[in-house]
Amino acid sequence: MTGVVGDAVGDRESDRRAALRAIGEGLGVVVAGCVSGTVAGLLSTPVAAGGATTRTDAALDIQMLQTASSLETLLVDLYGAALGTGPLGANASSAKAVAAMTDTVARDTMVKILGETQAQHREHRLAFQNLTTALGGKQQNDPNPKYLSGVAAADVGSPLRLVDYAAVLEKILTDTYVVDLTMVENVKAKETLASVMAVEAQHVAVLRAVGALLRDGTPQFLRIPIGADLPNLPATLAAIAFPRAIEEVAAVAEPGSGAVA
Amino acid sequence: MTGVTGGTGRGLTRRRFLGAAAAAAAAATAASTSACGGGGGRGDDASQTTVVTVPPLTGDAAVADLHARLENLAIDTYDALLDTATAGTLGVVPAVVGSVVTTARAQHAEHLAVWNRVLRTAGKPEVDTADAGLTPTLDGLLAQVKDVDGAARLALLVEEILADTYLKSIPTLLDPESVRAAALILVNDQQHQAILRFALGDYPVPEPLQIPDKAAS
Repeated sequence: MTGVVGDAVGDRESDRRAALRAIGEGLGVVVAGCVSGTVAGLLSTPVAAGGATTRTDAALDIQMLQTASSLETLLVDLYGAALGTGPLGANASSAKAVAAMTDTVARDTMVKILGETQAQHREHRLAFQNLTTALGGKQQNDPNPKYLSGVAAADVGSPLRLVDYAAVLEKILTDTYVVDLTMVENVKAKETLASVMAVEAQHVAVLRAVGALLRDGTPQFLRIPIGADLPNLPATLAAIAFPRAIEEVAAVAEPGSGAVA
Repeated sequence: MTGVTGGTGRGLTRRRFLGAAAAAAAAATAASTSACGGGGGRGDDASQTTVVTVPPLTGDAAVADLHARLENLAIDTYDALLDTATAGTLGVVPAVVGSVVTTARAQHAEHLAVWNRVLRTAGKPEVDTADAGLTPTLDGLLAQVKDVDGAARLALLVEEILADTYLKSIPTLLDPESVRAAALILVNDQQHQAILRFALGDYPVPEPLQIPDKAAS
């Protein structure tokens, strides 16, 4: 913990720039390529210090919200494909994988989780879109372009690979919102990012747990409610679902990656 | 703040911890009313007694103080649940429930260390006691725990209180490093909740948006 704490008010704009530089210097490169021209432009734009809301503040906030919308769409589409409601319908590899699950209760549970999670991502997207327009920005309706090709090419042809991949994407959303929270100025946007981030974190834990059960070859324990099988759940589930007290931020979508002018 | 000490030294049982807390509170009370004459130490000259008024914490330090008190509350609760389970009161504890409790307890100790580091960096005293406002309520609920389901539900409640508090405080924090810490800890607490709900037979992610309706203040 190196930042200013206590009664002092830090230089917010300096902090935002530092966070953006950190993203550009590698944090987001893993999955989102280099810092966009728009963000690079923001870094070179003189802005007011001391936390005052400026046009640049709002512009960056809008970019973060647009990118958040694009990430949510990415997940809505991923789960839609697995549910057989995407462009390929029941022919999507993930939809075939889910449909082929032989334990019918496990399959129904999987479908419930996928459906509920997709619905929640729809609500997240709507919240981000409404905030974007409230701040004067253009609503982002498309999936994040930096990730789109990767998601399309991902091997999700088995239930295990599907949930493993979904967990990775959910973690990217979680981490992106964690980093966004250190930069965003608008209070409502901050509240919404935190609220959504909290739910994405739960998605991560659930998908990790489901993946563990599938990996162990125990789909018979994929039931909600678990009921009498509770004693049969492996003790390792906790360490798999939440392996560290404070997980590292692994990869994030930089604010400009899903921005639209 | 409800009593502060310089060290951390976790690992106390709940009963021992409460005893230590009482001693710390007594010491803090004594310190706040002690003599502070010009060149003398405490009690050098009662005729020069000055009441020291400690200003209330404000800003990020106040939030860190609250977070630390709640992390202590979580640790105490998990310790008490472990004591109860060890005593056999809960019956046979499923392995997954036991591992959630022990893992979460250890992770809350790490969270506590984060906030005490923030306080130390800000020149403020570390917090080694649970939130005084919530402790009686939690003690009352602990006394009612008779089985594994009750224990898991109490753990879930504590996790919800902490998570909601982080959710509410994040927009108020000024230092980005504190924001980041609070966010990452909130992530972990949310994960605890999801697995506890799964073990309890509930849907693990019940709400599309997290609302801080159980936040402490």
